[in-house]
Amino acid sequence: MPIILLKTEHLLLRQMALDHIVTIQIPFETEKQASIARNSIAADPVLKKNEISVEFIAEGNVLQCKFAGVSDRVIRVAISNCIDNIKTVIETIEEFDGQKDTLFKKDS
Amino acid sequence: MTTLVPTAIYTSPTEPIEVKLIPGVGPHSTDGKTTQISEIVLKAGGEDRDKPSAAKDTPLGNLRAQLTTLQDKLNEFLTQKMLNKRKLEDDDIERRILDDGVDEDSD
Repeated sequence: MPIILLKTEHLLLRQMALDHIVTIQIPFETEKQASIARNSIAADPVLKKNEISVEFIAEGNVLQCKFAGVSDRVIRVAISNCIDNIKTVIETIEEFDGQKDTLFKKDS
Repeated sequence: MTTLVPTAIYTSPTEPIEVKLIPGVGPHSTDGKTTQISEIVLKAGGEDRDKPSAAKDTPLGNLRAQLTTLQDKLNEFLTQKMLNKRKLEDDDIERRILDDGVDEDSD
């Protein structure tokens, strides 16, 4: 019985190999912008770590995002969601980077 | 004006040679094909209230538009891979039934 369990476990591990990989390179105008983008999106936790791993690296002015998942379906969902977030970060940087600091007061 | 072009590289057991995806020649827009609300909802008069703002004519604005095109290309590419895999699995079941005369659904 224990041998059968080990074989099943091994089969499951083989099936769960994170061998579907997409690497996205996103160049920014400056190193600072790439770093802001990396720190903003890296804060989101990865929920199913046995199905997908996500890595964000800021190298110079380039943000590199590496997705490794068990299937095309899993990486498709993760990538599309991440790109949506990065687009929001880009729009925010464009609106606020380089602007004078503003203190917003809470309405009473 | 500086052009910032995002790129993507794909590999998998069925695609050992790298597939490179680029936004390509434009026009590019922030209104992606694969990120809109369902066509059925649109036809029924629904409105996309989360529609992204249009890209400004700046390096970051263009990057956001090009990233949307790349997102569309990745979504279409990966969806096609999923459909191909499903077809292969269906074909395999059909072949096994025809070759062996085994009905997979029977007890």
